[in-house]
Amino acid sequence: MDKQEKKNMTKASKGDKHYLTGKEIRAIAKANAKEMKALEKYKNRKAEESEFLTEMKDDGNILEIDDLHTFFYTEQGVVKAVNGVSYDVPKNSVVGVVGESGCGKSVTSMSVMRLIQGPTGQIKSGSIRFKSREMKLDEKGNPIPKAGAEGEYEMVDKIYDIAKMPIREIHRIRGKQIAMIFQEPMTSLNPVFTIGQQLDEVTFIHKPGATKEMAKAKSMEMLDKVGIAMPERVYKAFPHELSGGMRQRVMIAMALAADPRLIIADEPTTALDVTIQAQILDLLRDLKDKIDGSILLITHDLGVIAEMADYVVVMYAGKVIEKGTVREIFQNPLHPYTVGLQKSKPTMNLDCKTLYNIPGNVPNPINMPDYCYFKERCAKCTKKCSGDYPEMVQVSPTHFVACHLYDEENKNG
Amino acid sequence: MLKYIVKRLAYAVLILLGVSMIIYFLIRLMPVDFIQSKVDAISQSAATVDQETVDAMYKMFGLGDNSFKGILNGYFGWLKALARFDLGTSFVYGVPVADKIVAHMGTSFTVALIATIFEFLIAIPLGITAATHQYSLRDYVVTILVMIGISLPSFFFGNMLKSWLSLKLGWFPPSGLTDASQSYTGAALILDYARHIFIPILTMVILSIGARMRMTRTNMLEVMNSDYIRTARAKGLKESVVINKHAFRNTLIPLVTSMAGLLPSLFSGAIITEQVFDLPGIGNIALQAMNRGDIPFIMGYNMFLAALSVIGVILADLMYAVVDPRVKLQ
Repeated sequence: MDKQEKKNMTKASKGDKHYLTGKEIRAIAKANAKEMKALEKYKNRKAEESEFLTEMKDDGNILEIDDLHTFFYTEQGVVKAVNGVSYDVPKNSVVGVVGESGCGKSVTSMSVMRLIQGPTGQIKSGSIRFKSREMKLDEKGNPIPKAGAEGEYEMVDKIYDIAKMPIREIHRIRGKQIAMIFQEPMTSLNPVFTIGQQLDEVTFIHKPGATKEMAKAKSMEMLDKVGIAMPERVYKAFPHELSGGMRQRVMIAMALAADPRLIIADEPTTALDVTIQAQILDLLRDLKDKIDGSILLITHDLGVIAEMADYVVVMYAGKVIEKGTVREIFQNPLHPYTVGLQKSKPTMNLDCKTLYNIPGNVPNPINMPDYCYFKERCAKCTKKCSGDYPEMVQVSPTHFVACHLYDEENKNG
Repeated sequence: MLKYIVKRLAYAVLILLGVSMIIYFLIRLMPVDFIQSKVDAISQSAATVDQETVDAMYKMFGLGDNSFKGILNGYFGWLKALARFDLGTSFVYGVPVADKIVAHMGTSFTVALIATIFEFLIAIPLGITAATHQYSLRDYVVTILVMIGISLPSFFFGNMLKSWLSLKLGWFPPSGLTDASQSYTGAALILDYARHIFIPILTMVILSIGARMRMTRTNMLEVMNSDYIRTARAKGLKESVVINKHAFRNTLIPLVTSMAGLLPSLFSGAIITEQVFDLPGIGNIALQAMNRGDIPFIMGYNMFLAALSVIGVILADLMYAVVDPRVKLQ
């Protein structure tokens, strides 16, 4: 594998376009098949709980993504969509992930949910530690009722490494602990079931012994919570009878229905028109204070991040290049890419004729260079940039950046 | 809904009128002459038939005038009889066409119905498992086996099964529908039928599974890659529920449409398979009638199938509205 990669890399650096020969394609296919088979086997294995129980690095976090690698084994070679991503989601906070299309922000969130489509897409290595809140069980495996409160049970925190969980155990996490709002509300609801059926299902899965009436009551409550005016009518409607904005509200209601600890909103407003976008964002902002949990907001809209997020993670070509609090990223952006992103945001106050754009393109994800991925597009390039990929450096307790410009600063200071 | 059905049935009558006209003209233009072959048969045995008698026979059977007007007259004659629910008398078999069809339909229908049930019961689960385990060993094995099934011609595969299961192993009788040497009654008779139709059904099932399985697999793959399946998984549903509830309901939609073709195929009889196993099914009878220019029978048989096809399409459209809430009939 490594040999093959190196060979491809040297060839790619020689000429702009390199067409794979039949021999190379066969070599790639063979290596991919071997790798995919091993990873698929690991994914489908049976395992004891102790195998994927772990400890948090910082107890204030509910999610810690640590050196995550998610690869796609394609016919042209291995696409390193997520290549060593690390970031944390603290308790009761909103973390925004920004970056241009194809930088791996969605793939990271899909990895957290283990929704990467196999066998081509696989989590290669790294860990995703998640603090799950579960019912405490007695020796017989029954939940212990909470003294003094009816219908409530003793809860306990369990820390799972989601990346190591066998896929058959993943239903412990999905929906109940981490819920997801997708970017395509038009196609994300099943066309043959009513909204009510799809919403009730969430309660049925996660509340053992729930009756039909309980499920319906919960669904209606959720529809009301996301600001749907006629919940009774929407409950009985089929998805095709609703508008895009309504469907996204339903998706949000569905995500909220099981009181998850973490909500991943994967570009929740991208497919909607501007007025509806504003409504959905208002709703999310409103929910942020109402729910007892964190939101991981993935978007390429910096305005949304500035409004909503507490922490910001900037990704580029499958790597985190800068992360910090929202104040640090917006007032003191360090990485030239973050600076470029800020500059390319349209503003009303500035008098300029054309909108700034970062020159060049993202490098080909198959043959990534071994120096900084942003080097070719960077205006502040130094000699050092031709060297190894820059390490993450800490500039303040919360602010990290991966750029050689700040290496030196660090050494000098 | 009722209005829609009535409207569709009215259209169906118009379609059938057109179909009957085309079929009648085609049959009359076919280079098979029932009278001529009859005359040939008589003259071969001994006596010669004079021209006068031949002309009289042509006139009697209504085949004398082969001009456009003559054929048109013949067609309206057939249509008039049909209005009195009379399909005419078969030239070859000498009995009313309707009686002949009814007499032989049972065998064909039983064989086709059992074969179709097994085809669905086997092909749909195979298609689903191939799709959910795409590119795995299971997928490849299933796909290759059903491809072999699609590619085999029925006369060849039928004869193979016959020579192996019946002539070599002697488990099943090679042909026919009943054992002529015995006179069974009751349960024993049914068992005898079952033994006779086993190999034909096996042949038909193996040959037809492929297409249905491929179709299920393709649809299932498309559904499994859709966004709402991802949503269903993200909810925390078990994979079996995702497949059997969320994905399967959507795979049903195109499967139901394919049922339009099912209704006529249940009654049409399997012409080749019935020939191979010498079953007195309607396909076999129709082929003989066709070879000998039996105009009333061919008309009756084809119109029967045409009517079933039209009804099948209407039923499929109604079913479509049942399985897909997005479809509204009006």
